[in-house]
Amino acid sequence: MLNSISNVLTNNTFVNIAQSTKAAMSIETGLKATGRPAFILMDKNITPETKKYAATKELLYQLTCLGVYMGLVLPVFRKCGFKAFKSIFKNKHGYDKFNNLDEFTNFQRLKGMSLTERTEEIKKLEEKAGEGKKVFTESIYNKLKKNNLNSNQYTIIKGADELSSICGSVAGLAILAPQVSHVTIHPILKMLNMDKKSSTDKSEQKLDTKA
Amino acid sequence: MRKSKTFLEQLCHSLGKNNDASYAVVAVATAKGIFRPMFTMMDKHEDYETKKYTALREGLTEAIAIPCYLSVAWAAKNLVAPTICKSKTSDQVKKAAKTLSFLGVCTAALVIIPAACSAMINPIMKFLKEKKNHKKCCLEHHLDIKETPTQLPTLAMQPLSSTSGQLSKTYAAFNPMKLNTGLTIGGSN
Repeated sequence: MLNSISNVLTNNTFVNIAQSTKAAMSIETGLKATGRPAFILMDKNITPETKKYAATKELLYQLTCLGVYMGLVLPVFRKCGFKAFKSIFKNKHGYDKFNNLDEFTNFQRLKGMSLTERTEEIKKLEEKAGEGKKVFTESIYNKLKKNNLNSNQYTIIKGADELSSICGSVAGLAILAPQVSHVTIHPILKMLNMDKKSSTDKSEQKLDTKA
Repeated sequence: MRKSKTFLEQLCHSLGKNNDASYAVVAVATAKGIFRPMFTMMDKHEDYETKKYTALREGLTEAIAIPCYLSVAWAAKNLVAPTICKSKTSDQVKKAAKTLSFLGVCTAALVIIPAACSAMINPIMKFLKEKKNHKKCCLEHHLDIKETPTQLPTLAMQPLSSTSGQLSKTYAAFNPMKLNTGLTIGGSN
């Protein structure tokens, strides 16, 4: 039993997800978006109206966070971060071997594959890019043709990418997402007829008719 | 300039080699702890007391979240991983520790932090409210003591024409010392 659990925990895919800021934050926000409203709905101490309102509000907030994070912050921050660090480190630490972030991300992905899988994947990438276009620089092509790749290569580039992701996460989840949700959530709740004011008005009207 | 670059290189190197899920969540929680109360206090549509209450609550939530994230990630890495991977090599224990740290962070965000907040925030807010009320009471009490002696000369002056027995009774009724000592003069009450 313990052996099978430890086998899952040491699986390279899981380890890579756990060490990637982007994947970890996205999964965490996704879990929050599903788990928190579920917990609110399970609460027995509040009225069904309030439960519905709070759960929808929480779901919308977490979805806004996820949207801002995935759609706006990460692509911008990671790409800008790559360019910024390339100029800060003046093409040292392996930055001269990658023209952009996509090349580095693809290299990181291919690194863990076997040689046959790698060659197939390179062909697919070249087809996607168009005829005659190269997806890697010459030195990276040569490295990918070798059987055993050093897994600790380009740690500074990887770290710089993670640092950009952390900065993006902070800017997106702590500053940008609350502002976006502040603007968007109330109109959406109003559209769904779940605004707090309208619900209280309804309950007051019900009380008036009874009186 | 050269020193800051070396620090940046070191930071990038350690993040590239040993990144952990807890780093990003703690950074986000810290920023939330600073910015969310700040944005709340900047809201012009709410009254000051509500803003203060909400900002304090938001700050407390993040202050609880940070140690929760750190302790759960630490426990996952140092306690759970070596227990589960007893028969594995140290390299595999390290790998398991990374995955467990991520799972711990997810559990903290989903279950532990909301539970800790609901258990801790209300008593803290109640305590702070009571402390504030106590301070207010003390201040009002002090003001009463200061105000009462100003009434004394007029009250003492009035019964001058009356008999001495009446004077002592009137003074006894308005004696500020009565509040502090509980003594009754002239046998009344």
